[in-house]
Amino acid sequence: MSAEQAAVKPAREPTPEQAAAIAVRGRDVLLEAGAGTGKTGVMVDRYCRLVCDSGLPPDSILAFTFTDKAAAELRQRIRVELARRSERGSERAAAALAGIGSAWVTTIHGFCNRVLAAHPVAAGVDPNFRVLDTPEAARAAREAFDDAVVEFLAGGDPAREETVAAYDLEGLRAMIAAVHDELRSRGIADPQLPEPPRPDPEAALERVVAAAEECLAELNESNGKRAEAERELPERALALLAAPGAKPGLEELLGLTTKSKSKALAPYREAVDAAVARLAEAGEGGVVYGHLAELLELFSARFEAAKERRAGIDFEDLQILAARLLERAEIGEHYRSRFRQILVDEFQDTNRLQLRLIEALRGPKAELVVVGDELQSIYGFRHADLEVFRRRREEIDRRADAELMRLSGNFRSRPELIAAVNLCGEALLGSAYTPLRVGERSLHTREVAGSRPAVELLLTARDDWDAEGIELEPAIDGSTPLNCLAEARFVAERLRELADAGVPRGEMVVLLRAFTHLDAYEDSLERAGLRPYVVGGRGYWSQQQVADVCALLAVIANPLDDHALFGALASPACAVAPDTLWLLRKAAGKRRHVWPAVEQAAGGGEAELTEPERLEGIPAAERELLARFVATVASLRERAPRLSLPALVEAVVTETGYDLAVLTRPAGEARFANVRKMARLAAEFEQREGRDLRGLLDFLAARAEGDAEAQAATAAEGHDGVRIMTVHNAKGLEFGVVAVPDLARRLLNGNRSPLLAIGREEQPRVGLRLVRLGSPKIDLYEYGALSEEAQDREAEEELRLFHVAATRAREHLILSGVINPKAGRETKGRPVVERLVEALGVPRDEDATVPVAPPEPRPGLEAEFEPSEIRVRVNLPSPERAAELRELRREGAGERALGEGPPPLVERRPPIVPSRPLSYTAISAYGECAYRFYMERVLGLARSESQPRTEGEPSAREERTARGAAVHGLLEWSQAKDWAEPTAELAMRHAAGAGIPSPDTSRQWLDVEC
Amino acid sequence: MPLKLIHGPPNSGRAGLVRREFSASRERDPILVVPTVDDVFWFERELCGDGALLGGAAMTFGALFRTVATAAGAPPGAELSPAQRLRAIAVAISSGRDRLGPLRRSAARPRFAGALERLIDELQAAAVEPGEVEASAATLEGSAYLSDLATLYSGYEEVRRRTGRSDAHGIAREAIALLRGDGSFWGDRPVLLYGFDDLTENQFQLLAALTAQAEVTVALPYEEGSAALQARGRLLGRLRQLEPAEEATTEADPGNTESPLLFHLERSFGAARPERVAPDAGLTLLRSAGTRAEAEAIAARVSRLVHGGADPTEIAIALRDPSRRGAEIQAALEANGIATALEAELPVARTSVGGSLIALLETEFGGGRATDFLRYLRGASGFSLGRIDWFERRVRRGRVRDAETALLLWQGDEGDPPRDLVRLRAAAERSPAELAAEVAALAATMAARPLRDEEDGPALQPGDGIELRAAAAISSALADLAELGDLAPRPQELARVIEELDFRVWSGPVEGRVRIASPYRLRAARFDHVVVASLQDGEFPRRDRGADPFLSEAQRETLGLDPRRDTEAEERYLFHACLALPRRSLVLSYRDSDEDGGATARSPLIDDVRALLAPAPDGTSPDPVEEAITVARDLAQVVAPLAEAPSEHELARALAAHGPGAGAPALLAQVGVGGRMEARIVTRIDDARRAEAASRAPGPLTNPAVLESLAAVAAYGGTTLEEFDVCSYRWFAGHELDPQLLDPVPDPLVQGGLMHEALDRLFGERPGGDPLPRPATLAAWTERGRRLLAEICAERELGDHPAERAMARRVERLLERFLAEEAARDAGGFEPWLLEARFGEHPDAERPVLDLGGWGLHGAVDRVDRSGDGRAVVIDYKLASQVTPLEKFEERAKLQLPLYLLAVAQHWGGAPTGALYHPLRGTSSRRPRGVVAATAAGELSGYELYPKDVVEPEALEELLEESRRRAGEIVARIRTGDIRRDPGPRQGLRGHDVCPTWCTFAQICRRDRAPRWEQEEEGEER
Repeated sequence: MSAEQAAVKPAREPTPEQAAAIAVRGRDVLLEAGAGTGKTGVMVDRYCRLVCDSGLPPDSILAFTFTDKAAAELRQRIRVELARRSERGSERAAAALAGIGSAWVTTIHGFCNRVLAAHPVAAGVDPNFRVLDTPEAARAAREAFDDAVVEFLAGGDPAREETVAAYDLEGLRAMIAAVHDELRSRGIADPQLPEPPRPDPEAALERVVAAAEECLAELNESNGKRAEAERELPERALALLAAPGAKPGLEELLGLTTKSKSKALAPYREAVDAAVARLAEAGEGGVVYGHLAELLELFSARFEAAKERRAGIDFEDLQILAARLLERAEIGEHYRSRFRQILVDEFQDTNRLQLRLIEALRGPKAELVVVGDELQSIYGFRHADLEVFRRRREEIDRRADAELMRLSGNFRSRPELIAAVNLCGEALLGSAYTPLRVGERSLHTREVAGSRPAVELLLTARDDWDAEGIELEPAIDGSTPLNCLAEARFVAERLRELADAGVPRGEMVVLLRAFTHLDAYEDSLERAGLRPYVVGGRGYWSQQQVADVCALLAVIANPLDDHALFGALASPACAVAPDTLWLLRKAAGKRRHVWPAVEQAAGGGEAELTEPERLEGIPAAERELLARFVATVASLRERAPRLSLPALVEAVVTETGYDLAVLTRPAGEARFANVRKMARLAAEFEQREGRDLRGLLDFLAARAEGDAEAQAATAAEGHDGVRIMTVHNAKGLEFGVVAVPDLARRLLNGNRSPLLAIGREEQPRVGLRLVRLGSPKIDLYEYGALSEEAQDREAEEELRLFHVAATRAREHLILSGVINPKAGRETKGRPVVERLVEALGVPRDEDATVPVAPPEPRPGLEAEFEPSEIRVRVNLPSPERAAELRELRREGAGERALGEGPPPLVERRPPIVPSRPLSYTAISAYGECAYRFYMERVLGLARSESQPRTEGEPSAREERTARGAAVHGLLEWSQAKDWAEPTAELAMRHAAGAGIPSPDTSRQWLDVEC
Repeated sequence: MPLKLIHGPPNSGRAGLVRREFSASRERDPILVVPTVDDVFWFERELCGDGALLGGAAMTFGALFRTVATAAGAPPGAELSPAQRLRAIAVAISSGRDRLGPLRRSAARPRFAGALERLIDELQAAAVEPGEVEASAATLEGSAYLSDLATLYSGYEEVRRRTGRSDAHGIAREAIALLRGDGSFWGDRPVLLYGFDDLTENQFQLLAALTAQAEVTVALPYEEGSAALQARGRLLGRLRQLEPAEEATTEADPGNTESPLLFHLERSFGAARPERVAPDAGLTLLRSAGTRAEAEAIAARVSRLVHGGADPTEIAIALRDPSRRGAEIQAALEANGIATALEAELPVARTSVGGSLIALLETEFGGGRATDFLRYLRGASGFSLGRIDWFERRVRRGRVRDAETALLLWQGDEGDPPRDLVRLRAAAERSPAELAAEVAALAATMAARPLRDEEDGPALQPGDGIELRAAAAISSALADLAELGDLAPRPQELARVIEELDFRVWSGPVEGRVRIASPYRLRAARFDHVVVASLQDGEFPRRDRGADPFLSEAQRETLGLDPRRDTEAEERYLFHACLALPRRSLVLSYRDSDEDGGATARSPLIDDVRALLAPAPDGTSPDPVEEAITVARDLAQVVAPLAEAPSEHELARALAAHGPGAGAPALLAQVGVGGRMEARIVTRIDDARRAEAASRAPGPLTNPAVLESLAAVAAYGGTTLEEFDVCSYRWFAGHELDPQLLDPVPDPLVQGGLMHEALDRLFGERPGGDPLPRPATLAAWTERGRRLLAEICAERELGDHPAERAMARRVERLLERFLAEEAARDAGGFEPWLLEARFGEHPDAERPVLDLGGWGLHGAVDRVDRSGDGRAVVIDYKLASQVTPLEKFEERAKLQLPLYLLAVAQHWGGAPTGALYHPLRGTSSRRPRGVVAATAAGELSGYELYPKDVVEPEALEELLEESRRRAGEIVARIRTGDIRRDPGPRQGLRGHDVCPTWCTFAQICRRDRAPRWEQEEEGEER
């Protein structure tokens, strides 16, 4: 929608809560705004009133959003509102509208970029710095780590090799990079591991003795075999440790550890574990920690150097450097005096560094208005720190000159959906949950058959989907468990029903926590005729076209790569039979490269083959294919350095005929889109790293390992199909129908606990899991506590993610998960679906309904609502059910349009036009050499010297030109002076000015020419 | 003498007036001053429109300053070229860096010199001397910065003086001074200015001095009340201070613009209350998904215009940043056969010759990597590709990272370093200047190397022009630097110097070419058709540009520098300039999404244009007015419709996209394509279909020569049979094709090899005499194991690279742990009996091939333990953390262990009792899995056997028999060449028809992993 269009829409009257938030002035504000409560509208209104009513120039208002997209939307809405006010005659609005393009509505990163671009010299960065995008920064980091490890191991120290061997190179890489990122997210420019606490193994051993005695005292009171067995370890411990001066080794102490969960042994177990840790910290663990600290420093320095080579900075640098700049008096003052209002959206997802930055921007007259919702804090994995929000809330609550405000009325979802979301929220989050209230009496008029009740819970049985007679027609990759597939089919079936009842496909979305089972959902929705469109996604690298183009490029880069060569030969770019491949291999010989055999089979090449006679077995038609392929490859290889990388991709697929072969297949255009995407990736790479085909191949291989690349999109957001996206991607969006499946996913599945952990305190605690090849791991320092805390945070965030997903729905919400036959134990990682089923008292094997109490209206809304319910449907395995689930509703491909008119073919006739009107010299030059004329005066190429010249001396050609220029200059001077005779001094000046350098040469010239 | 001002809006005939004045005063040899050299060429052509021209000249201000000085009898001396000036600044920075305060850190950055050059340029143009900057430092905020700047500025002047050269500003100052003195030397030569929005202080002062001597005419774009041209009022105000004798105003002339709508847009843009008019065919909105789609949509539009008879010269594509977006649009146009002139500057580093040269310099003089040296070789080194291919293989396999080692490796192969390197080394030994000259020459040599010399001179291929231009830019800059003598860059600085160089992609005549340029470059001209492309929010209008990296606005003002232009106003001015360009049609092109389908924001300038169109929006979405004038190209349109295909190749693609069953000739006929073109296209489509079908037929093998060889194989290894059972095509790709890698063998395989070899030798040696390590002999076993491992690493040339040493260390630790566990284990009377027991045709084989009924088995058993009564247990070491239990034997195609047990029984006479996989890598559990007869389970309790792996003797026998049968079936399939893409076990077992995730042969096997498409095709085949 254009700004103009939007301007004609009337603005809604704000609610009392919103009005208060818009109007409050002269104090800091924290606005808690639940999902769908109209916070963006409040920000827009507040902004416009500040400009139009309070007369603040847009230049003095700084609004931070979380994403670029949100910034663009906010700017657009402000523009619309200003346009509306301008139409109504507001001159301030009209004036502000003209400059709104450069208003300070941006992300924090965008702001930092702007600040640094304005003061690069003061910041100490390259004046033409650029921000490295994620792939390039990752590549720089990779290089940096490789270099750091080489340096770390350079001395041949066995202990260091041991550390690298134990953690594995890739494991170390991940560990160091994670810690580096974590520390930098806290604003530490040169990350270093904190100094670990000094271990006291003696004291720890004493505690073991005490604990052993204590346990034995208790165990001695019991009889029986178990007690007897349990006594053994404490007794051994006492025997080993109680002797004066006992100094057990780590292995001996490890021999005293136990995995027994016996209560009686608990003090002993804890004491021994602690003693093991302290002993390890004092010994090899401390050494390893030192290694990691050193490696981090090496990596950090190398990474900085790698960025500097690229004249680049990464996203974290942006914030760190900007914060430093703003903390400096003269520059910070410039901004502090400018901004009178600072609005921060999504404050719950900021971190300490960002807070530092915001604080640095606040002048004495500035009002800071932060907007956020604890329940929507979902970016902990990107170092967002919810504590920042919580502390700020406490502070605002305490201060008399600040205001803690709240928006509670949800304008997005219909009342019964709000009620059900509240029910689930309370079940999952308990007292941490703040219920949403209904914002408007009757929000939605669309009533679709089968869409009541507004919330459904679909439960798919965990077991027996592989029983006899059950066939779900799994997708070809087959990696999705059958119960997940059954769930995906179930969700698709339900969405299909809604589509049949009239819900547009474009209004439906499937929100996934992760794309682990994306294939199953994409496949199921496709089968249901719902035209899925994956936002983001993956699967690109496993596409055949991608593999083929990579193979072809690799052959261009170096045909000795047999893997690529065989791939290319088998592909439609050559398409020889497997028999021919076999014969080529035999001809080349065992453990030898195949390319020489290919060349010879194509009629060229001279390398010696092991069994050249094998080539005779290749049929003539196949030889012809090989000959054509070899000729094409040779030509491409010869030209490759002079083609840009995207042009090379284009040339490769065109000249081998690969493009046409791909297009002839069903869904050919979608396949070919993947090829085009490869050209785009190549262009992006070249833009960053230059024209380096091998570098591109390595880069693609590294990207493929991550498998985080989506297939080329052939539809954009807003097309008529069901969208599949991650919950994170859906933040800030809303949809008519939202399906949130895969709720059986364990809450702690996200990441394994890092082996090196750092606490979030100012003086952070540290923890290390010591990996010892051939021996058990040992948790050092505060590893256990830190892991535990991290898990708590992760589990809480996962529950909030569910809340964010559920609150995206306007009309209808479908929750779905695979359910265990029986309730399991309560654990931190217990999945959402299990928690819901338990809390709501839902049976696990039959359909049911859950009553839902009516929701509350927001303050100022006088309304009462009906109670509602959540419908629960179960999906149990049976051949009949499987038949229903695999029903195909796929849409047929449309007829391809021919277009209009004759094809606009243009016969290229390269124009031959000289660059300037012809002078006598030009005509003479053409006479001398037409080719040179073409190169210099048509193509505009500069002259190059073919003869070497002496240092400091002009070339013969330069000298000729200089002489001519000097004579011309003198003649012109003479003409202007009525043909007066120039003096020798003037002639000398002209000579020198024309580039005839030395006085001697000039004089010589003077004698000759004048 | 009089100053005459001509001002008016765009397209009001200012250029014509200037031309007429120029012609009228031709007898007095007038000078027309324009902003750029391209403008000079353009005006020369305009002025020569009626034939040869004698008298008068067009030039830039730089040339005017020189002309004035020359006319005064004081011709300026040598002038610093841009490269020399930058170098002088770089020298000033490096020599003054120690004295710097706050600028020291930033001054070390590579592009600091360029930024400083721009500032000094500005200071010089404003006639601000270093002393004035220094003086300001005492009074201004941030004085330390200014003090640093003054140091650098005066440092530059000092260096410039050392070079004995002047710079453009020095010449300007000299020329002004000469005119201000006795300016009579100038005579009455008229001077006319056209195309300037603003003037520097020096330019203004020269103009002021000239007005005292001669007629001066200045034409500038300005119109009272025009918001778009408001900013230009500043220049007019300054010129009015010179008290012009005459001021002429030109009026907007609708006759100059064929489309009334376009005239309206230009006139109304930026107006406070503009009138709305209904759109017509003169305006089109082009909405595309992604940059490539946009480029192709523009190319299609231009192709249609040219096909319809439009002169390419009359078409322009305006891009706010042609360096960023131009290349993609150019490529799309050129692919359609449209000649283009991309007026953009790109870094030479992105060309082959630039990249290659930088890589060579890094190799020799910088901290180069092996990849740098390879990049040079792959560029324009002149070496044969075959030699480089083999060399690259050595570098990669040897994990060589640094250029020095790579170079030694090359010399080891070739004897000498590359001759280019020899040339550079020799020059570097002489002097930095010699080296710069040599690099200049080398750039030209490298660019010329790939050109094939034909009878009429080398024929240029696509991309060659770019290379030659880049090489010329390098040569020219380096030659200039060489002239600086001892101030020339040091060898280690040269790569960076070249990295910083840009070159013009096109600088030449534009006739017959579609121009792709910035509004700044286009604004002086007019075209029939104009496309304004990449109209995205943030791109056009740009944001956040124009800040001074060194000085605040207050500091600039105090120093007398102009304030930085208001970005918003400047962008609107440029867009207005774009609106004024076309006579007949205007296309405004934007992207509503990126290539991934994510929404992108279009430029608000388009909304401003919409505000000029009638009727006003009524709130309906989509807006009917916009829809009526919008042409969309969405993501799904990967290939043009047949009737819109702009080239023969695109026609072929369009035809192919109609699918496998489409009738090519009939479709081509429908769009009027016939004759030879039709024949060519149909042949290509047929070839493509054939190739596509062939590439999807994975087997069976049918070539008699192949089948004969396969049938003749007498014996097979256990792993071979397993591989076939996992997937017959995987076996074909892995075992038969056996692709050789460029890279080192993957670490896990190397580690496995080391461990097997070490264990084989160690158990063979039996340190301490025991067949197994015992607690008493463990130390001896461990020590010997370590040494053996070191020996094996040395034999395999492992250990040069730190990663290899870490890998060896890992194996060493695993070996130690295994030995400790062996020592602690109660083997229940079973002792190692056979180690690496070979049977088959191998020279070291102890036994012959095992005949299994029509086919033979060969192999090497890691270890066989035997009890006192002759019962044998086969043990296979696996450097893995998990191994296959008995219940998964069939599912995971495990045949080797049972077959080896058969071999042990038949060849060595051991009674088959068990076969175990022994995992060596697990951290928590390393219990073996496999199969053991219940009769021996008790004795082998030291292995902590899983109960599920323990079977009755009869079941073990059945397993052996079943394995023999399955192996026999596999052999029969191999012999008949029956290979298929049949991953996984038989139907009903987990993993059936599923490609293993670890399979690395997908590239060769080509089994489509896209579920949707595969099923569609299967449906079709049915």
